[in-house]
Amino acid sequence: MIHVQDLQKHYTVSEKEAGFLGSLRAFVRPKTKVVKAVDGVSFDIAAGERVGFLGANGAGKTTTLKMLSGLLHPTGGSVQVAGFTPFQRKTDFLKKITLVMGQKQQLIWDLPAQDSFLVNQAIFEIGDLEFKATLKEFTEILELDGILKKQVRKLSLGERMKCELAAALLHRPKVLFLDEPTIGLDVNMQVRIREFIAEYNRRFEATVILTSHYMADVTALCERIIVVEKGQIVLDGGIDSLMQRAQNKIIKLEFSHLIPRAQLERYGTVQELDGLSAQILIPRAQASQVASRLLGELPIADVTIEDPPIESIIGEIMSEARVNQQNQRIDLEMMEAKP
Amino acid sequence: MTLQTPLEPKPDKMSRSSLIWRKFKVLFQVWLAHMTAYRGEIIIWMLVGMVPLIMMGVWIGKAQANGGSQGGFDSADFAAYFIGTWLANQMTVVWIVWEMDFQIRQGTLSSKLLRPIHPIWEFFASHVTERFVRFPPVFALIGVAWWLAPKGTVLTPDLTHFLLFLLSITLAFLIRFTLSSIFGTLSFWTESSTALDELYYVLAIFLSGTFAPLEFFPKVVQDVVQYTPFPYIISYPVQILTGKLPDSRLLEVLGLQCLWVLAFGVLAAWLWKIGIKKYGAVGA
Amino acid sequence: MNKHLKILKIFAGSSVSAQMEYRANFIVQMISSLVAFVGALLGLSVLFGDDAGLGGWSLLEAQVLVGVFLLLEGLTEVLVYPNVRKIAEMVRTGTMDFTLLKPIDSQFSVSSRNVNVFAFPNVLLGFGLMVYALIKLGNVSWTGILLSIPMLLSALTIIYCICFILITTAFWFVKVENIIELFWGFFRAGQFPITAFPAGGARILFTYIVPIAFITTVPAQALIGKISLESVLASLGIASVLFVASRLFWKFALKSYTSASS
Repeated sequence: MIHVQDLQKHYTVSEKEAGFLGSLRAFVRPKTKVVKAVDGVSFDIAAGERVGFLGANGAGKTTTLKMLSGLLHPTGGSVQVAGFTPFQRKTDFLKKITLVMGQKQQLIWDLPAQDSFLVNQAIFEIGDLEFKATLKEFTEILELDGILKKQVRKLSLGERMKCELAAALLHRPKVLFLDEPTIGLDVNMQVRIREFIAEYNRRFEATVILTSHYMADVTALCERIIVVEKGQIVLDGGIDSLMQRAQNKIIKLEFSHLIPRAQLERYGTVQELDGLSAQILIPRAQASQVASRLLGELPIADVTIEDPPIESIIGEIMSEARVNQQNQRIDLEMMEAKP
Repeated sequence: MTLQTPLEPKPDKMSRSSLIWRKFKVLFQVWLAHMTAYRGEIIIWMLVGMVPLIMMGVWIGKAQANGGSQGGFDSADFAAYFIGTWLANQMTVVWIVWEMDFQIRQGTLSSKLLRPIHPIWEFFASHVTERFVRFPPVFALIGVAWWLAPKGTVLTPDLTHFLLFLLSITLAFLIRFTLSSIFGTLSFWTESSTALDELYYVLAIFLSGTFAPLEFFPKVVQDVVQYTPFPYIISYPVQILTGKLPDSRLLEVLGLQCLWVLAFGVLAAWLWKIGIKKYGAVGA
Repeated sequence: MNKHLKILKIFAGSSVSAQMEYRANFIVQMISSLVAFVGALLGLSVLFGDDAGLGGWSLLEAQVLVGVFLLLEGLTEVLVYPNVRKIAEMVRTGTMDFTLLKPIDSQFSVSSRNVNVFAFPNVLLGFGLMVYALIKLGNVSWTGILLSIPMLLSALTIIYCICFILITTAFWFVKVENIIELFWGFFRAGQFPITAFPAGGARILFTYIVPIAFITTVPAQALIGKISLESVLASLGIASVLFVASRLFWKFALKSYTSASS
């Protein structure tokens, strides 16, 4: 469904020094530099897959999404979505995809959401029967009753997001690009939106590509995760394989009577010690060995070994990647420094 | 939670042209509703364009001081000319350059780009529907102006001239709209597109005939200005309205108006095509 | 007072450097200013094409008046307009609340935050035209020049107060951001002496209802030495009354704003 090969996007931005003199200098002679927002990424996504893009701010995930949806012209590399070159924005391509961008409203601010839906119906050439059926379904699942007739600007953030999603999916796209779809929403609403997207994916076998700050969005929705850092992919794999990459295991302990912290610290990093329960971090390879030692040496009432939460695994991988990239850069600089 | 209704996409059988017709119908209906919500703003903007009425005061004052007429215009002629100029200015108000500048800079153009219809049609729909919201207060104010104007002021000699004026002012609007779209597409490259439009406005006050009928300008200005779009936006439509344009020149003027629309339209489309590649979709 | 001066300096500095980033804009606006200037002169020459004068003013006298008009228009664009526009925005977006919490007079603070350096060339052009036409006129008196300074200040105060009062309505009508443009619509009448308009409605409108006459005609009269004592007093009177009115109206608006949004 999606085929991306060595995709690049470089921007030229103007630099400005701080302060009045700095801006005066920039006024006389503007300085520019090239920012490599996306720097050679490749991946394939099959139809029906749900893929999460993770990365810090400015890592390049939104830029990649924009190139996939056809908003940005790549600087280099190739990208194919549903057999189309996105940037040409052919009508048949646009009817197959949708892009939802957080709170950026495609709804008309001063009119009821219903009117925006009508506009989309006409523009996407949706037949009346299909339009009615889709709208009915969406109304049920997203509980849009009573919301559709209110002016958009009078809606709450969550209500607006629901309408936004409905508007974006009215034409039943086959590929969904979702950029921060739950940003600013409360937990209940986040869950609702996630469930809706999952259901849409199941029902229409649609491909879902999602970026989010909320790790929970990604772990709940996506079976595959792509982590980007400084414009490059540092990890691409299923959630399960991610677990394998974790360096530590967590051992949770229940004691039969209190023990001093110092005693526990001999076994590993103590994450938590609260009365009779404790949590310690052990390198993966030694986990079972340490557990049996603990059982033998301490008054243990109960012990469990767990994988750390996916959030911290991804966090680990990202900071690892950052260090690696740094090192590579230093290597390069040293090579360049040699005559 | 499941989607229960069985969904068999049943594409309604609609012909190509009826699909297009429906697009425009819905766009216009919805934008008309939207613009109606902004009627207060629209009335404010209507009152901002006071220049023709101020100039009417000055020229009538001058004619009175000069014993009733000035350069072949008496008070009533001036009144008719400047009320017409005011009407023409109201009918050709265009803000697309601001809209494009804003949307390109803020990145809100993005969601418009991902729809299977060129974004320009939505801008166009908003301008045309705004005109319909503007009509009633404009004609009410014209009524007041005519009532205050000197006795014997004839705004338009007959219905034919008024209808021809409507045709000509529609073309004038299109010249202005396409020209402003050209400035708008420059927002892909520069932040000064709106400044360019303001430069146009400053020039237009004099060269389109808003400050004074073009006959009052030096001969060389009158000659040069014929080769610019300016008089085709205000001066000629008003001359048609007031019946001052000789019938023999009518076709020529309307034809040249069409040519300007065509030229600017083609240029705007070309600039859009190369500019959109530079669109960074900032932050959106 | 010292504190206010310091704050003024900081506000001005930061808003200048923000605008310096748009250099192409600056150039186009310069051209725009020049064109407007040439246009104003061309316009005058069209109006004076028949040597009959305009409402009793000679061409040179009218040029002094246009100089005053451009000078004040420029000052308004540099000092007044960027601030009043911002006020409506602050009310709409809710950032006004922060301003109200600062230990500084709120009207002063919201009125002095921004300067638009791009418009400064207009000030110079207007001033230049004013001086040039005065020199060509010849018979300039020191009393006239001395008198023109309070008249210009008074004119600027009137402009500020009208704009400020208009924009204060934003506290009640959020969508009123553009009401300020109404002022520009009428302000353009200031390019012409009040006597250029036919006696009756227009003159009454521009003297008493929208006091354009006191903005440009009266300072120009002072400069060319054709001012009457009544005009001087009326100008100062109107400016003071409007200033007090703007303060009272602002206080009243704040009161209803804070009690409504709590």
